[in-house]
Amino acid sequence: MVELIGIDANWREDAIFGLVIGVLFIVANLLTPAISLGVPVVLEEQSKILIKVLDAPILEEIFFRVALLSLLWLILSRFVPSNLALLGAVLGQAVLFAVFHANAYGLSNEAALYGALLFGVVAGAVTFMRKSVISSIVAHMIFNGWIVSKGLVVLG
Amino acid sequence: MLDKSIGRVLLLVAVALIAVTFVFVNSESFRTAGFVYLGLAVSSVIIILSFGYIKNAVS
Repeated sequence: MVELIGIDANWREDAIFGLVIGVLFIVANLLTPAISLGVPVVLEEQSKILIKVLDAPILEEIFFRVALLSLLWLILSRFVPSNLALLGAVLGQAVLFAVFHANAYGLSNEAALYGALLFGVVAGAVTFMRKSVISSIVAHMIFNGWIVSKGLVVLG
Repeated sequence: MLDKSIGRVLLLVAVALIAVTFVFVNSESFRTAGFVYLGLAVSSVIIILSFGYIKNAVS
């Protein structure tokens, strides 16, 4: 499962796929403001915008979609059939991704919780289907970039 | 047997690191110091590089 990191000859195709997903999330966010991962920008944090747009997606996607997904799948597959274990692993890492973001923004921020949960499920499924984390990194970057550009700061 | 023990220790270290990162992610000073991403990065490296050992320990 750790091969999900999947940097191979198809990386351009993966990146385009991620771009499409990122744009779809932006459209979804415009239509449904509840799907949001951002909180109002704090001036002193604006200097960190590039870091938020570049390093957060890479580190978070590798952690949640490769390391954690693989670990959960490995543990769950001991107790349940393989397909069910995979489903559980995708949902499990999405829940932890949501908890991570909700905790970063304050647990009362429901928008962060639902948005991160939805993104976690989609990114987990895409990473598994394409056997590559590149799509979800690109989608995460696009979405974080958009959040930052509209005057919000993304904390993770 | 030794492989299994190494795997268990590595799994325990990774889980502990993940737990600490998740608990302290809402701490402003912890975040500002970059410990959140450090925690994510180090636990990712442990899990990915020692996946063989962990797999051995879990199975």
